[in-house]
Amino acid sequence: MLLAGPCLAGFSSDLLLFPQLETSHRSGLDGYTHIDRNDHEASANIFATGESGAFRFLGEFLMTSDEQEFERLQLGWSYKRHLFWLGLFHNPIGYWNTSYHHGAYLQTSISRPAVVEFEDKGGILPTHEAGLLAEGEFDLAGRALGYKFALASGPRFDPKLKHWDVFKPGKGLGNTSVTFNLYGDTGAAHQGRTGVFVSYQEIPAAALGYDEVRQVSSGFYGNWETFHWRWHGSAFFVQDKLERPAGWRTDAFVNAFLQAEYTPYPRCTWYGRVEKTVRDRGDAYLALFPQFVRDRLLGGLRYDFAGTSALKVELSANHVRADNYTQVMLQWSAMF
Amino acid sequence: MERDVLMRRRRPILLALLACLYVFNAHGATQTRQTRLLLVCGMKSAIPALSNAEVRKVFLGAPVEKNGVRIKPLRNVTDTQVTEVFLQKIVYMSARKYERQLVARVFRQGGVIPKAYESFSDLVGALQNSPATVSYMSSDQLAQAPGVKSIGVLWDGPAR
Repeated sequence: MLLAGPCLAGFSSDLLLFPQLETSHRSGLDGYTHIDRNDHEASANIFATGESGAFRFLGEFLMTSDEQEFERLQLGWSYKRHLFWLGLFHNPIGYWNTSYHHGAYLQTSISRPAVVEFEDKGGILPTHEAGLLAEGEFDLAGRALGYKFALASGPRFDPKLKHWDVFKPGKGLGNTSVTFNLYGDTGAAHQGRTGVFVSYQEIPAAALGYDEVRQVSSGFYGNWETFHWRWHGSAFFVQDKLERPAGWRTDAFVNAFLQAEYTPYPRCTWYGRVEKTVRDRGDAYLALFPQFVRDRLLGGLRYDFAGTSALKVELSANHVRADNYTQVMLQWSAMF
Repeated sequence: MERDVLMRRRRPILLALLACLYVFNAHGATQTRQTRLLLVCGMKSAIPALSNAEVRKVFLGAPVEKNGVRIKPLRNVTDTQVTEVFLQKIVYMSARKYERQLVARVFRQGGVIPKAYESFSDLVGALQNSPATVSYMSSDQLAQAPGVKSIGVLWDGPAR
């Protein structure tokens, strides 16, 4: 797991590799669909982190058959229980997007909830941002009260949402993005966490014939864990305003998901997730994402073996704007 | 009458079963060892006693400061029983889940994964040389760790 240990006095580092192989099959699609019936993907996520005194470095580079790009590249400074980052990071919206990243080994399921899907996978909300991020915790009556605040440049439509590319720094920056996330921990390190968040985004959308999309997403989330059980979920209330020279249009929708996990034995975890979108009919912003899974019912099994490898199988019933389909996914993921 | 005969025939089987249960339990009892698990640091360290909740936070990678010093955890994996007691009684997680939690935290917030020591002498050396570090060990191990002191009892009871 640990490829690199301390290499300089006062400097310590870790390098982790997250490879994965994934295949999915969809059935029940309409004949004229644009959704692929079969997908096969191999990818490797390289994660590097370093620490020297109060300074930190964090980099995450994803390689797939379609793309090779930095998903995170952050330089940080820590002061007591607070961290200040500069760079490309994950938008602290909700719980899932900052808890799990591109290495699927760390998350129990194969798929992410559709509302926090990454931009390049057809996600509807900005999940990456470039700019400043502050995060930290305070003690409050024996419990931790934490915050995450981001002031950054979000993604732009090109034609789907596209976050800033480290290799093309001169272009691809979006407009203003501000996100605030406030949470309380009832135990250490996420064992029991509830929180609220709000995010304001100005997303350039010339590629779609709009001047800009102004979006406010807010909501709440929770994570509860015991030795065998885990429950986590989020609710998102999204207001969007699509601006054209001729005028503007405002819509709003609500999306929520709840995932339950049961681990009867350390190697084996059963899980299920329900996702639901309401007030989505006629939403002009969601109409820009015809493949966005509005409703989903999912069940799966994860089996851990050989130290840090996991085999997962997942079956789901999905509803997109004009279609319904069943999906079977199989994934091998690992961490070295 | 027939019932008595049946009972008499079954008695040896029942006795054998009871004997098996006794042996099984006795075997279990030999596995249940008293363990006194201590929180330890180097002799030169000024780290005060920590509550079990604080120890849990430290070993899950959360920042904990005492007297202006950020405490660094060193994982003692030199003894299976010490590791198991620590995971069961302090962290409340299986070894696999604990490992994933540590990686997930570093994956979220950077920093480094707390170092796991398989060599007891290396662990003792690291505790002696770095006053900001803490670890856990049994009272038997502490007796063989010069330059290391106990700053609290984490668990005192049966190991299983």
